[in-house]
Amino acid sequence: MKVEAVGDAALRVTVAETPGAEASARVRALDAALRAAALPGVRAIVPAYTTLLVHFDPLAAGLVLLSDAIAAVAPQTVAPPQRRWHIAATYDGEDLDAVAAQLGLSPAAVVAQHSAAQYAVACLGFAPGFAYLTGLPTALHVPRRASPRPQIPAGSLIVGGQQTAVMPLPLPSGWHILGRTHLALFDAARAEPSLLLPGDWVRFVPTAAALLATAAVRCEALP
Amino acid sequence: MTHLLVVHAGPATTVQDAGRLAWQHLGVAPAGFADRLLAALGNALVGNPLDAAALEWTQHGDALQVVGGPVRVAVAAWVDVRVDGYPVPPFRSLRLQEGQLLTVGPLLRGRHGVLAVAGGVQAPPVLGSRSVHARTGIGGELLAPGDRVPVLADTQSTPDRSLPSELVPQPQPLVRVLPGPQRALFQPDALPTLLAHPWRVLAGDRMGLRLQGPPLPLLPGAEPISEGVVTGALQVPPSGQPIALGPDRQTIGGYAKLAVVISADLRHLAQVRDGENLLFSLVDQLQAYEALVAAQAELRSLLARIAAVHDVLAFESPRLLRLLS
Repeated sequence: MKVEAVGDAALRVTVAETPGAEASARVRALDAALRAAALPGVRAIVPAYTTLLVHFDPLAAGLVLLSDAIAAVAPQTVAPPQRRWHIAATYDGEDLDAVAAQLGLSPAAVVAQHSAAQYAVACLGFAPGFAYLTGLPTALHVPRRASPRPQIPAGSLIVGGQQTAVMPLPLPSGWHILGRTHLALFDAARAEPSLLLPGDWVRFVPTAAALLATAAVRCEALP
Repeated sequence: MTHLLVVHAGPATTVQDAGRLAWQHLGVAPAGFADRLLAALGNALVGNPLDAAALEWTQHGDALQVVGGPVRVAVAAWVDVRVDGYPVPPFRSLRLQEGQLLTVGPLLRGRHGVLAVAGGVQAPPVLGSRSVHARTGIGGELLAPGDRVPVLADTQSTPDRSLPSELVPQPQPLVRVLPGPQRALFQPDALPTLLAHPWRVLAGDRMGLRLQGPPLPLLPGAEPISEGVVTGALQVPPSGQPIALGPDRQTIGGYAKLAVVISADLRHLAQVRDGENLLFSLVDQLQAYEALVAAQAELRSLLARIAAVHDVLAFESPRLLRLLS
């Protein structure tokens, strides 16, 4: 574990060299431990793929002392993922055919591969409730669009690079639209505002457009 | 209900406060005042806690009509301010009566200004903050004509208070940076290049400033892993032209960060205007901390200089004349 300053008001904690399931588990373990430790002066803890960024108030917490305190926090043992989300998806996105052509697959094969895979929420970022999902099959890795769209609809099911995601809000995006979902990914009024959280599993279930709103999403509790 | 009716809206006016820092793990941007010094002074002038919710505008202020007044306000910015057409000084609190029109013009210096209201803007908090993140709609939207900004009626007849505006430190296009933790991803001459050249601000908003200068090349094959980012980070996309992140930044970013602006100078970064040049100088952690302590001391000494004033402003005299006649 390595702790380094990022400017004068944040510390970056690196827990792994490369992203992956092992790195994500370590990030989640330290995230839980740091939140439980409630170190004075800490303003935010932002877990990512291999790092956590600890934002702090430099007038309330000394950089060196906080750095030592973080290094001394023992990662908590966190339970393995306990939730699997089954998200209804209508694969009628405007980029489906172009992505299929680019990958040398039929659109049906893209849908089959995308919906057969199981994804893990690595972290949240970009927008409220935007979950970076890892586990996209290699055959579906596709470079992002040359020019981003100024806005894509909320609920869009998208792929970009090695990742897939669902767009929580209408926002600009350079990812390709494969289809759509019917989800409230983020609601500030909920006790837990974000539907998806790091460590969750996600699958997409091909669904007819007429059934999208009623099927929406199902949460499976894992033993 | 007492409110300020928006008659004309500036290009990008929002409600801001200290921001919602603690929700970044869910992808929620921090938002918050771009220039905390101006916000603190504006709030102090109307008797508020220093980070009470206020209106922050960009480039050009708004025209606001008082409904259900009186309302006590203060403008903290270098700008032309008028009440019912009569010029009034900034950095001074004013008691506006029912129906009066407050007009805040284009900024003479800087990119952002603050309009503080006694009691604070009464917008409903979202996730513990009233700050608006316009891009995602968290906390609200940009101010538009016809909007009603909820405020409190001013029930206390305390004297107006002012701060000599020449005492307020003006924004400087010179900001101090610490080396970024990802500088090893850059060619060795990238950091010296950043420090040796002026950087022209091409365009900016509360998310960030796009800067133009000599290229800051990454090492071949450098592929940064996305990680949490800070306000003030100078991130460099493959184009080699840096982007300085502002308070509406994303929470996680995938571009390499060459350097980070120190906390004490974030207001200077936020205030630089499109077309102006920025200069960066390198400091160490101790200097960054000392600069922040010095900025706090400067704020305290400014707060101590705020004093009651008893003069009659031009916009008040027609009313006085009516009352006397």
